[in-house]
Parts: sequence; C-alpha cells; structure tokens
Amino acid sequence: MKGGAFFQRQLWLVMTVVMIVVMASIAATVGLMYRAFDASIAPQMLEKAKTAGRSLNSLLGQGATYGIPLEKLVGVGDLFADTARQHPEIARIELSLGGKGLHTHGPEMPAELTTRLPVPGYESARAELAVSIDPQYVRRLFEEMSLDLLVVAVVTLFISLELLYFLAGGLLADLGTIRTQVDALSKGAFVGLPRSTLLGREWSAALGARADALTLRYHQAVAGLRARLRTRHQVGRESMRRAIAELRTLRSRFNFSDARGAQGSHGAALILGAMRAPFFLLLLADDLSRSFMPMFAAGLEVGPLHISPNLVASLPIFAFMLVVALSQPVLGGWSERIGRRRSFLAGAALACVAHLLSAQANTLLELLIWRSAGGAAWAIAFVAAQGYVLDHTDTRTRTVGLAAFVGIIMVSMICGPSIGGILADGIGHRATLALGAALTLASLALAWRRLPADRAVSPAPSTAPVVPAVTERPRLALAFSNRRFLLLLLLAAVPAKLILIAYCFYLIPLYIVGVGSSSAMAGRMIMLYSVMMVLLVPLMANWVVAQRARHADEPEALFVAIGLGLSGLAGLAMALPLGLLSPLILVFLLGVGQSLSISPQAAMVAEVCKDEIRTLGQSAVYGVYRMVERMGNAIGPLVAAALLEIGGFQTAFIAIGALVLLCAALFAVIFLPRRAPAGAVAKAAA
Amino acid sequence: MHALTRKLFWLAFWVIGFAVFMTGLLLYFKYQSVFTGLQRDRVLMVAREIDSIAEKNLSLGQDFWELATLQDVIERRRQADALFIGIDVAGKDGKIAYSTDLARLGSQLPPEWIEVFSRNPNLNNMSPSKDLAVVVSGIRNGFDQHAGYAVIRYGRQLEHEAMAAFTRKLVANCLIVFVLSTLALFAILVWLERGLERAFSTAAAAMDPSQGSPGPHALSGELALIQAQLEEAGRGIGAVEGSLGAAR
Repeated sequence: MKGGAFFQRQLWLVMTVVMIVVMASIAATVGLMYRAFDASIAPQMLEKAKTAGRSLNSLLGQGATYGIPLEKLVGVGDLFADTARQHPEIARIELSLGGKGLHTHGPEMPAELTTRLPVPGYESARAELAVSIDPQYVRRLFEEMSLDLLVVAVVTLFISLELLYFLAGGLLADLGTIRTQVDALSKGAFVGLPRSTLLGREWSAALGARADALTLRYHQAVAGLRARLRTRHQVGRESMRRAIAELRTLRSRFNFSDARGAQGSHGAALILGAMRAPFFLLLLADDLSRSFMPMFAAGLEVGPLHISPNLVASLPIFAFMLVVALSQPVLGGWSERIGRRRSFLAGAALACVAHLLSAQANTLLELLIWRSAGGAAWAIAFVAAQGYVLDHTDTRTRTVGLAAFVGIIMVSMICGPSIGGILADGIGHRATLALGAALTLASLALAWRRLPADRAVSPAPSTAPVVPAVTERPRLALAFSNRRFLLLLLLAAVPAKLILIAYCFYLIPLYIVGVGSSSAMAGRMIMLYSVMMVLLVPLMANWVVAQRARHADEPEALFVAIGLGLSGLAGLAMALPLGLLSPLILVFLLGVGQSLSISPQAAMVAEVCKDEIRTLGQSAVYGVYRMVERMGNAIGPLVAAALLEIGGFQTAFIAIGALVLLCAALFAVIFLPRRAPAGAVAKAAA
Repeated sequence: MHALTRKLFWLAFWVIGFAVFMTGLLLYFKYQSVFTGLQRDRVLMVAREIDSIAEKNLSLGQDFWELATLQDVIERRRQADALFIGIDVAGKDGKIAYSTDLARLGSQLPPEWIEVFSRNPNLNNMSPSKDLAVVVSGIRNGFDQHAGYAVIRYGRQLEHEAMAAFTRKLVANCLIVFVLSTLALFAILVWLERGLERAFSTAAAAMDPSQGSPGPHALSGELALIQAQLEEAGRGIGAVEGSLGAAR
C-alpha cells in the first residue's frame, strides 16, 4: 500500500465536499431569485408589448385613413412575423375583427400575459390587436445565464482551492507533516522530523517518540561501539567485528541521522504557501483586464496623433508585453541583490499604482505609461516569486515548487479574464481596473505580513561545469551564431507566442464584442484556452516522454511542428460561417496546438544548443530563448492590428493563421529527422 | 472556539461567501441589463417609428424643417407613455426642429451627445445622468444621407426603484443561502476533521501495545508498514547490542 494513499483520499474528500456545497449554494441562490426575476420582469415585458401594439396600431390605423377595410390590408402577417422576430419576448400577435381572428402569429397564450388594444379608425368594427408575451422568456434568460454560472462555479472552485491553501495552510502543513513522518518511517528513515501542531498531534507525537526512542538506542549502540574501539580491547574481537558488520547492515537498511531535505521541504512548503496568495492576487489583478483592455484603450482620446482605433487598441498590450520581455533578464540579478521580499513588495506597490492610474487614464498616452509600469510590476513580482521557489527548494523539491508556481499562474489565467469580463459588463472597465488595484493592495498587505525575510542563500554545490561570466551582448551573439537555434526561435518560439497573444488577448476580445456579444463571453473564450492548457500540457508532456521511450528517437520536433500547424489551422476556423462557434473552434485548436508544442519546444533548445550550453551555461541560453520568445508576445497585437486595419477580422485571423502554418511547414522541413528510404535500410541490413 | 475549528469556520465563510457573492453579482448585472434593455427597446421602438415617419416625409421631398405631421406625432407619442420625459427631433447639427417641449425648439442638443452618437453610429442609447437616459434613432433622407436625430429622453426613476427592490430580495436570499451553506460546510468540515482526528488517535493507540489491538482502522496499512520497519530496525539494533554485550 502506498504510504500517501490515506492522505490523498482525505484531501480529495475535502475538495469534493467543498465543491458540492459550493455548487448547491450557487444553485440555491439562482433558484430563489428565479421567481423574483420573473415577477419583476413580466410587467416590463407587458409594457413593451403594449408599446409594440401601439406601434403596430399606428401602421394598421393608416388603412382606416385611406378607407381600406381591415380584412383587405395586405402584408399584415409579415409585419407581425417581423415584429416577433425583432422582439423575442413577444410570443403572439393577433388581429381580430368583431371577436373573430383575422391575422395571427404565434401559439395561443394565457390571458394574463396578453395586452389588448383597439385599432384606431376601426373601433366601430370592434377591431382589436392582442400582443402576448412569452412565459418562457425568463426561463430562456436563465438558460443563457447557465454559461455565466458555470464560469462562476469553475472560478469559485479554483479560488476555493487558493482560499483553502491560504486559510488552511496550517492544517495542510500538518497533514503534510504527518504524511512526511509516515513516509519516512515506512521507508525506514528514523530521523528527527517536525511534528504537527494542530491536527493529529497525538499520533504525530507517538510516531516521533517511537522514532526518537529507536534513534536513541541506535546512537547509544554506536557510542558503545566507538568506546570499545577507542579502548582497543583485545577481548571479544570477533564479537566486535560482528557488531560492526551488523551496524553496516543496519545502516544500509535504515537511516538514523540523515535528515537532509526533510526540514527543508517542510520549511519550503510553508514559504511557498506564504508566497502563494499574494502572488495569485497580483496576477489576478492583471488578468482581470485581459478580456476588455483593447476596447477600453480604443475608447480613449488619442490626441493630435492620427492612429487608427485598431492600432490604439493593440498598443497597451504591446507596451505591457515589451516591458515584460525586456525587463525580465535584468530583473533576475536585481531581485537577488535587493532580496525577494523587498522586490516582491516593490512589484506589488508599483502594480497597485499602475492599476489605479490605468483606471483613471483619459488619454492613450496615460494608459500606455501605466500599462508599461504594470508590465514592469508584473515582471518584478514574477521574478521575485520565481526566486522564492528557487531559493527555498532543492533538487528534490524544485519540481514540486515550480509546479505550484506554474499552477498559480494558470489558475489566475483561468479566473481573471472570465471574472473580469463579467465585472466589466456590469460595473464598467474603469471600475474593474480599480478593483484590480484593490487586489494588488491586498497582495501588498499579505506579502508585507506573511512573506518571510530573505535568508542568506549559500550557493548550492553545482555539478554543472563552471562557465566564465559572459555579458548579455556576447551571450546573444553566441546564441544567435547557432543557425538552428535562430531558426527554432523564428519559426517556432516567436510564431507560437505571436499567434497566442494576437488571438487571445487582442483579436478575440475585439471580435466578440464587435459581433454584439459581451466582454463576459470574451472572458469565457480566454478562460477556455487556459483550462485546456491546465488539462492538456501535462498530458502532452507525458505523451512526448512516452513516445521518446517507445521509439528511442527524438519526437520533439514532430510535436512542435504539429502543434504549430494546429495553431495555424485555428485561425482558418474563422473562415467557417458558424457565428460564435468559429472562435470557439479557434480557441480549442489553439489550446491543443499550444499544449502540444510548449514542452517539446523548450526541450529542443537543450538539444539544438548543446555547445552553447557547455560554454554559456543552461540558464544563459534559456534566458535568450525566453526573451526572444516574449518578443513574440509583444509584436503579436501589433501584427494583428495592422492586419485588422487592412482587411478586417476574418483577414486578420486567417492571415496570422496562414503565417503560422507556413512557419510550421518550414520548421518541419528543417527540423524533422529524415527517415532513410526502406530500400536503403534493406541494403544496409544485407 | 478551538483554533482548528475557528480556521474551519473561516474557510467555510470565505469559500461560500465568494461563491454566493459572485452569483449574486451576476444575477444583479443580468437583471439590470434585462430591465434596462426592455425599457430601452420599448423607447427605441417609438424613436424608430418617429424616425421612419420623418424619413417617409423626407423621401416625398419635404423639407426637414417643414414636416407637417411630425409635431403632432411626437406629442401623441409623448402622452402615450408616462416613462417619456420628452421627444426631440433635431437636424444633423443638433439643432432641435420639433420638440414636445416647445421651449426647446431652435436650441441645440448637448454637443457631447452629438459627438458620442456621431463617433459611434451603432450606439443608440446613453445615460447622461443618474436620472436621465436617452435613446436616439438616426434619420436619413431620400439619398440615404444623414439628416438628423429622433431623440427620446426618459427617466430612470422606475429603473432605480426596480433595481432597489430586486437588490433587497437578492441580498435577503443571498444572506439566507450564505448562512445556511456556510453552516453546512462548516459542520461537514468539522465532521471530517473529527473523523481524521479519530483515525489518528486510533493509529496512535494501535502503536501502544499496552492498549490492546484496536482492530482494523483507516491507517492500518500505513501503520503495518511502520511497525514492520520499527520492529526490523529494533531487531537490527538489538543484534548490534547483543554483539557488543558479547564483546565485553
């Protein structure tokens, strides 16, 4: 039996219970409000039906002025059908003469949902127009809302998890402590481990006491043996030899002293837990504006410059991404020098100011300045949080630490745009940006209270060869002198980011609102992409590893080519006349494509740049790779804006898709390994 | 309250609070958009009717400033619905040609309205103040050129009253759901925590041979592994101790 099964089961149980109660509370709120909604909206709908009736009457009444009998009027049925189509809450329109129906559109409706008006000019003939409202209208509204409610449920699930980590940090740490004790003892490691303080104290203490007692006996035996060896007794030499041999066997089976990592990983878990909530709030604040930033920018004054609205809409994203791309390489060293805590606090404070002033911006220039500051704040906080993970984890815990770090980013990407879209539709763009400022303020306060002071980090002994210090420019030159690396960047890394930002952050928000939908819908689309990434990236990464193991070759290039190809094909989905289904297909294909190519692409860098990694070091080469890749983030919205200006949405989507498809084809030609023809293989075998 | 129990309460409080708050917010926005949308459509229907009458007259070659029936139409329309504050028909420069409020004739529509509507031709409504909303329908002449605007001003008092009533109900319902769900989640979490504590206590008791065998429990598997390791290590240390004893 696996030692952690019980603890894993308990965690799943808690999560499931929380989710069931959360879902039930959402359903109960909606159910209770349904009746209030219906009761309040129905009279308004009747008023509207009355107005529609008056409008129809004014047309019908014109027949009377020309002396045309009502039954001779033509096109009445079409007029009713048009009116009902324009106003979906109108279920039936009926024109009657002397109590007999002349023209009817729609099924029979109850009398209390019908408004009746005499037709002017035909009163003597008892002509009457009856307009009925649809009793299912409110139900349909609630059905339409189900998507929003689903978004709320998903977002609540993720935020609940974050809250759980934040509020129940001590409890989870205790569960982790007991689990570590159980794991250690199950494996025969009787070392001094921390004990739980809130949960299961009795058992934790009992486990600790048993381990301590055994360790004490062991140390006493070792001390006794040492004492005997020091006195060089001649008697009982055979027994001494036997005792030494037995001690060796004992040491090979059990561990009584090496507590490496046990305390460290526990401490790391607490520190990462302390970093989690402030970092999440800071990212969430920024992601709130993803679904509406282009629309917000497009509505601002540009000043004397003649810039097209499409370009104006793209500039804040460009400024943000450019600052992020250019500042991150510099920020690494700076953050290390001034300390992670101080740099995170600086980032959070700057983000707070940037969000607050973005909410107040009246001109494009102001917004660009504050979005650039927001980009710098994001980069500072990102580097500081990443630094926390790297500083407080070792080789054994780093993967878990980095997974938690990436998890926070993904959760924020899922929750931010969708919630931001709903909020922007309700309280407006500026208020949503101001809410972002409030979140960053909360992040700052939490970081101030909870983030631990930086510890003096002793440089970890490295097995990597010592590389000479190289300044940034020669690093770039050396890296770019590798033609295959350059091609990997230009044909895969940059196009992948370009299409992602151009579609998800720029074109989709504008397109969705442009076709008459809402910012909330744009947020849902971006959320779908993030959910797909969370679900698919680990699966795809495992698939690549499995392929590599099964076929003993390097499948990364193939995955990158297919991923890029799918991303390119995503754009072509916009050529399909499917309404809002087209962007949905686009996001789906983009999600699959990006999740296929992300991990293999990063893995290819190590393969393509073997020599450079030997001379410059891995972090320098990956630093160059990340910086150039992020330039794709920056130019994405600009390229999309230019194409949108030239040919509209369809052209922009399709042209970017085609460009990425072309890159995928070139990449495949250059990077896919050539397979030897079957004939040549047979000849070689012979 | 025990520290752990307090933590569980705050966990239930914030998680349910967030879910109910977000759902309430969503319902509030939805109600606002449906209510204002119904009112806007109702007013827009009348604005389009006025605009189509004006366009029909213009297409017959009449001068914009001399549309004989228009003044009568807008006055009848104004009286037909208590929601309307006033109806104006203005030229493309914003100068009012026909109005239900005769004092406004010849004056200008606020320039910011004209700027907003000319900058965004798809926009047909705005709320210049807390108590006033405006719906606009563009009038085009026989050559499909922009000739003016049919503007209906209407009050938002009804909207405010409806929103206030809805909000009261929403807050009451959300509070009920919030309190009940928070207590339910808190109770379940406490129950789970007690179960977990029981499992740990049973496991602790099982480690003490003087208390006898507690029978199978949730942590039996883990405990069996630990016991086996402890016993084997104990035997190993015992062997070392035995050899050391023999060496004396």
